[in-house]
Amino acid sequence: MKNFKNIILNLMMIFIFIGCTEVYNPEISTDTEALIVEGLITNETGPFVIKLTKAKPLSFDSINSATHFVSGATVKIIDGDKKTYELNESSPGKYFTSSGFKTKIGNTYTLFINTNDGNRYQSNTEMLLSPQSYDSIQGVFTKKDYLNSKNEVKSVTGAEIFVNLFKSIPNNEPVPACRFVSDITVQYHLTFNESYWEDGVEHIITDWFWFCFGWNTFRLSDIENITEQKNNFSNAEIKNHSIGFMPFDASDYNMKTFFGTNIPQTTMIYYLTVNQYTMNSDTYRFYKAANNQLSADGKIFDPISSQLLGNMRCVNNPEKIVLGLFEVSSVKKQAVLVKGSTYDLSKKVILNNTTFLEIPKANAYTFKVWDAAPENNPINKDPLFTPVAFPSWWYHNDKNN
Amino acid sequence: MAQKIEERNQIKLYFKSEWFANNRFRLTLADLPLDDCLTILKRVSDLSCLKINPTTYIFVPVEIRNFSNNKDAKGVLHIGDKNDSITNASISGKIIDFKTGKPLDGARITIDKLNIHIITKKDGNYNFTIPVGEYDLKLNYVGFEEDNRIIKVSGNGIVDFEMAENTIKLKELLVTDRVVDLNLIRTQMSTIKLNNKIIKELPMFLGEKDIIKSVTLLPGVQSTGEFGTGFFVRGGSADQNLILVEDVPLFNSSHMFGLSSAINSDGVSNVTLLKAGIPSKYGERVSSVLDLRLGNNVEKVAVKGGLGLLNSRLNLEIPLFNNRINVLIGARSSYSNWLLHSMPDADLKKSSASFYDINTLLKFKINEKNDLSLFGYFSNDEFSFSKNSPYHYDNLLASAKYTHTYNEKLNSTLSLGKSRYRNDINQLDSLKPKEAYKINSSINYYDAKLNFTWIPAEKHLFDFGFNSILYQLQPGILSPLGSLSNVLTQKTLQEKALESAIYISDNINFSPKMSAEIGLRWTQYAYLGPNNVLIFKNNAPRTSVNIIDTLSYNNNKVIKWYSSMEPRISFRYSLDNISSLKLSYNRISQFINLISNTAVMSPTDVYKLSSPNVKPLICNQYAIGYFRNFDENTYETSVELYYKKLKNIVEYRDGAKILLNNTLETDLLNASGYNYGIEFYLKKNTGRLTGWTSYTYSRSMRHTSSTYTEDKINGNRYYPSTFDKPHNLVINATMHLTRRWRLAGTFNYSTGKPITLPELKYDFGGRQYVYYSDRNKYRLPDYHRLDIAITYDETLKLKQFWKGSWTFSIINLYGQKNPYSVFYKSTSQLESQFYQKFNLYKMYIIERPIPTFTYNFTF
Repeated sequence: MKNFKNIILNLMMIFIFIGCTEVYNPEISTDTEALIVEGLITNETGPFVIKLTKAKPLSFDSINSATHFVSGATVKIIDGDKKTYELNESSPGKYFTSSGFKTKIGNTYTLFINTNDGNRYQSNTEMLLSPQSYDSIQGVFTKKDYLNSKNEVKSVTGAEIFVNLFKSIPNNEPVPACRFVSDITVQYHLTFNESYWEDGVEHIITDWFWFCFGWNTFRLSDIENITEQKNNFSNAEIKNHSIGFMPFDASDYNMKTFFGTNIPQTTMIYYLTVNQYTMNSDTYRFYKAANNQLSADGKIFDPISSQLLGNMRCVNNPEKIVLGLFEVSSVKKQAVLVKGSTYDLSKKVILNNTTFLEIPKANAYTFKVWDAAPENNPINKDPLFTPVAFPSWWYHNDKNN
Repeated sequence: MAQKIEERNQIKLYFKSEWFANNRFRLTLADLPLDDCLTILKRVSDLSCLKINPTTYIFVPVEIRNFSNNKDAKGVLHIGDKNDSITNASISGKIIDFKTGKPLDGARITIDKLNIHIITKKDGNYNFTIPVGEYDLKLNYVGFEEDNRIIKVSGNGIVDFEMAENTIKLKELLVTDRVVDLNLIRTQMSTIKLNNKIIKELPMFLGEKDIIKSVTLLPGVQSTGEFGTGFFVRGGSADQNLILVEDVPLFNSSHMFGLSSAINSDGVSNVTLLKAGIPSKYGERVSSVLDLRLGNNVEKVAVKGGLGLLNSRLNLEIPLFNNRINVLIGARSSYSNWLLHSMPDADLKKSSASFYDINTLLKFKINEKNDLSLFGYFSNDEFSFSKNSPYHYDNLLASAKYTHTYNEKLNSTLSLGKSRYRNDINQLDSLKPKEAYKINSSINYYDAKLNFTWIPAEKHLFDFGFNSILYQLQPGILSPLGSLSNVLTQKTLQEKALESAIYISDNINFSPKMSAEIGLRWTQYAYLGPNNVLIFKNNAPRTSVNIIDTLSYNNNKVIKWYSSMEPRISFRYSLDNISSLKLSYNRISQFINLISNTAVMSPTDVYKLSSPNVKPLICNQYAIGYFRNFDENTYETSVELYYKKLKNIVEYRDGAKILLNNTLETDLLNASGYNYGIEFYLKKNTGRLTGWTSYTYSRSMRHTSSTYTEDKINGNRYYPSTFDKPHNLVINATMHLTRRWRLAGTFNYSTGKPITLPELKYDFGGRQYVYYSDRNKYRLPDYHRLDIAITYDETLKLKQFWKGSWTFSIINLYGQKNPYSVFYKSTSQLESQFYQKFNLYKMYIIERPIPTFTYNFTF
């Protein structure tokens, strides 16, 4: 009887888990070529870069394949005052604006590209809107469950970051859409001895200990984080817009730490930068469509496919495919330090405003430190005893860190 | 006069002059062709005319012969003289008890095709007049088994029917099956009719007969895939099929998104599928009409049921008050929830996958001239892949139908119906109570139909009437779920429209060899307020940036009229007794579209009415068919060729937002297209091996024709629609191994359906994106599957109170992995520790053989 019931249950499973999936490698034959334009100009001082690349066939190995830069193109921007600015190719496929190029809120900009193969591309004319800033930011202690690739339920504790926006915009006024690019820099440092355990007691075998520190930066949201563009809505204010979730535990990040991931959360610093871009309509539509691709999770009722088209077109051949976006968005950059821990019973998340800065690329340092006072240290030429100082920005002007 | 006819035609006429003494004829009558001239003389004089040789004709008084025993080898009862060239025949006689010879008072004769019900008088006598032709005739009497006969009427005659208490059903079934050559003689082409006896023999799906799944095995009909909802007919989408249950349309025809059909087959007595030459009394949808009728008019209480692994069902039919009232109640319920909740897994405990349906039909025989029937149906489905987002949908159907017979030549049917379809999606992640929401959408459909059937003269059978439909659609309301939810209510505007039509059709029997049905339907559609209509900039693509104004309309204000004149023509010519040629043309408009950009019909799909910015879909279909039977109707064959031209097909833009979109028109595109195909069909009706095989080659192509790049799909080039599966082969066979054991198998092969795949990938802003191919450029691998079932009948004795049968079936016998869809997916940040991976996946619904076991019973 028990076996019989199991058979029935297994049968049910077949129907319930309709999503029996496996990786599919169909034969795709295409001679389609596509130019990818990735450009952003903002209200900040330049230089700005327009990156030109070529799309790769789907079958290309995404890790090993080199980016196909498009060199030798003539790239220029013409603004609403009919002024033309030529861009220079400083490195292959990357075209930079010169120092003479200054943007102006309310002005319009159009990108023109002539590639070596004789094709002429042009963007829509895009307006630079006034930058918007969020009214307030807060973090909420959150526990999230997710299914890993083995269909096991896993829990992560961290902070969901929310912003409130547009309180000062009068009702019935058009509300521009914003895009948040929020990066969390996870800074850690830890010390530990070389030791062994016996009968529940740790025996330290050296008179020195390891000291290591490092940092890595992660994008908070796995899709583009945008707010709705509102027209003719009675209420402009947006409350509790989530800009992403950040776990507290280092093991929940793909951190390549030298000594594994057992980093005490109390020694960690979470530096959150929030770039708030104010988008015009073309840019809003692009990122909205981008999210259709990024958020497809293969459920049975998902849309079949979603093409992502930007604001570029080929002037001499409308059939020629050009993808990407020439984005003209104003930006407001802010930063906060996030304090919180899985083990904090009060479940408080504290956010302190701090100075915005560009954090260098991820790095990690490890060195040895003597246990004893400096005068008792034996002489040792081991270079690992050379200490490395924290970068100057490490504490972000927060004495409590 | 006679002399003139003789001279003109070089013949000799023999008659008694007193027979024509009271008749006066115009002399011009003699100028008519001889056949016509003689027909008129016979009709006026009530005489019969016998042709002795090519030059000699004799007029004789009509002899009303008794044809009670005039059955041919196939069991067809021939009534009337084949030489009688009349079009309406008078038939009279008695119904008597086979055992005692006593006349049966109150026995009933039913001819469904003509909607004729006759009750015998005290002496068992009856009489009626019907057009010549072939009919299924049913005899019913309290305490007797229903008796089905096939009659072929070519003239007047007397027939005494004998009814027996102990009719041997099995033989009856054989007789009936062998003589169904209606495929040759009816005017309608591209029509498949299944009566209750054929339904009994249909293949089993998951242990029970499934009408809609069986329909997908017929030529020109394709399923949406493994357990897909709905079906495609001749390259049309699923929403282009009008599925009528007792005259009311069913909007979602399946349970558990296609696991099983929404209709309990046990209660179904007749199924008609019309794929072309659709008569003028039908409109609304352009591809097909699937007309389902319930109730078998049983003479005593009949119970049918089944116990399966996924669900159980029961169907009860009760005759009351000397058969004046017939009650049918059927119900099905799944118990999958109970099973899921027994699973030792926390997530599954909270999953749900359940359905139930209940249907009821009450037929009142008020008197000989008045009938009333009341029908009700409700189905409910709950389904969820995880505990967080359950889907729910339900169908409610109700109708009242009143039939009045004015006289032998005229009857009318008035029916009032309602259909309601509701669905909702709940997102109730307990971790995000502030984001919990539900989305509800619904369709309310009300209709009134009045149809008259009139036989004014020989050779003509008119159907005319009107129908009117009120649509009320709520495309979606987003509302907070739970008290903690911060979600703001968001409502898309309701849609309302009135579709009214008048129609007339004449079924003309030119001669036994030739018949036609000519009809016309005029439809007037009004899109009604309250609503807002988007006004777009002239000479610009219909995108949101080109909206220049929004006009508001008050309740019931007509926003837009659409009018459609729809000719319907069917023609049949019998080449000989075993073959015929048929032609048809029909034009149909459809004012309601299902907008879907998912691989399957889903709860996120939205129905959209034709509006100022969405024109009605118009389909013109031309079809020609050759039908031929072999070996005394043991084999039926047909070849049909069709071509459809479609205008104003609603397509969607890439990345269209279907749900909760108040400017949905900006995401829709206007396309046109054509479908064509050739269908070969071979059916074996009798013998130990029965079944059918069909092969269809068909194409279904679409294209846009906009001058704006934004409004083009694939640069305006023709592309295959999602329903384009060129090759389709079905083999469905039942082998009667012994009297009790039968083995059935169904093999299905079709070309893989078209899909859009990513062709290129690129990095942008630190993320990976893909560029998709032209729409539907690629195809899934070809589809093939074999299902088998073996059934054991416990008893064949008619008088046995309880008759049970055991069915063991295996779906996908050889475990073919047929991909259902392909999708591109990125892993979530948390799952991949903030390192996103992208891949192309294929999804299977059934990847291994699935055995099922069912016990069916009847008493």
